[in-house]
Amino acid sequence: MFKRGLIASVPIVIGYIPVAITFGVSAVAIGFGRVEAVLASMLIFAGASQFALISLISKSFVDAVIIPIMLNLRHVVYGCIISQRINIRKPILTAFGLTDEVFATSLNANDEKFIWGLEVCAYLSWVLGTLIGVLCGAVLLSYTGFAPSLVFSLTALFFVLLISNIKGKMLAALVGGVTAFVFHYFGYTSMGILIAGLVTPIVVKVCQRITWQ
Amino acid sequence: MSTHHLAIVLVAIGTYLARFLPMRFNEKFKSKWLDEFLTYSSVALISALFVTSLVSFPVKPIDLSVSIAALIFVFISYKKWRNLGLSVLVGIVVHLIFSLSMRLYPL
Repeated sequence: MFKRGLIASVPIVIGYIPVAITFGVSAVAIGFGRVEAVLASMLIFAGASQFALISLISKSFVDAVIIPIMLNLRHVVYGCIISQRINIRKPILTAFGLTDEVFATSLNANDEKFIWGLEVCAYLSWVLGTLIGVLCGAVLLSYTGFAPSLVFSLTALFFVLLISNIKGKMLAALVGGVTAFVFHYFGYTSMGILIAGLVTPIVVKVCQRITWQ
Repeated sequence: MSTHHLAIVLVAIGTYLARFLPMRFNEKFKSKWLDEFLTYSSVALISALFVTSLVSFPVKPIDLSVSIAALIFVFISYKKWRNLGLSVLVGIVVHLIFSLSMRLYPL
């Protein structure tokens, strides 16, 4: 089952490497050290959170820690679902690599070792991609014309994550986006993102109740 | 330990616990309300991050136009291939081409 997991991880690896390279390059462009960028990928192993961390660290340390963790709170749901479907004997090990893509692929699994196979390849490709990005970053950034396009990778990543998660949650995306935009306009960007994450579920539930009545 | 290191370690611990705790204490995390809250909160956060990374004040119309044009290509490539990494890569390349074009041939 472990080998089957390794094979099944190929699409994940193909998807991870370019994003990890972009993360490595972006992290260095934003001001992270090479070791720090690789360390982030080795310890966190969560794409959107890592991008959020590097983009918020210059604005507010508290937000740079809280918002990435809040972003990953959806993994609480993943953990619940996986452990209900599969007999998880070593959660300490299995939990580390439970990313969005690993979770989605694991839904077809019936053995914990299959998930380990997925996680090993996904993790190695993520760290390797970051390393490539970090090492090639200096070359890419030596030409300043690249910088805005590399920073745009953050926008592109959040956009893709948004369109892949928006189904049935359009109102939440709209409320979150508008809330953040208003705070962003008045110069309270980080606070706006945090409030968007906390207030939106309440607003959506209220709207749903009003609609039902 | 620098601020960056501390932030990385704290986010790593938080991320790991979010993945580990529901697996370890599965029975205690069964709540429909929590599921819904987290689902809407995640989408709202991604949307908020997207909006604030796309728009910066004061708005520079040319920069914003280039980004929006590149996002159209990101959207098309994601709809076609369903590959997150590839779509981001397409976005970067298109953004770079448009940015360079704007520098070489300003409106």
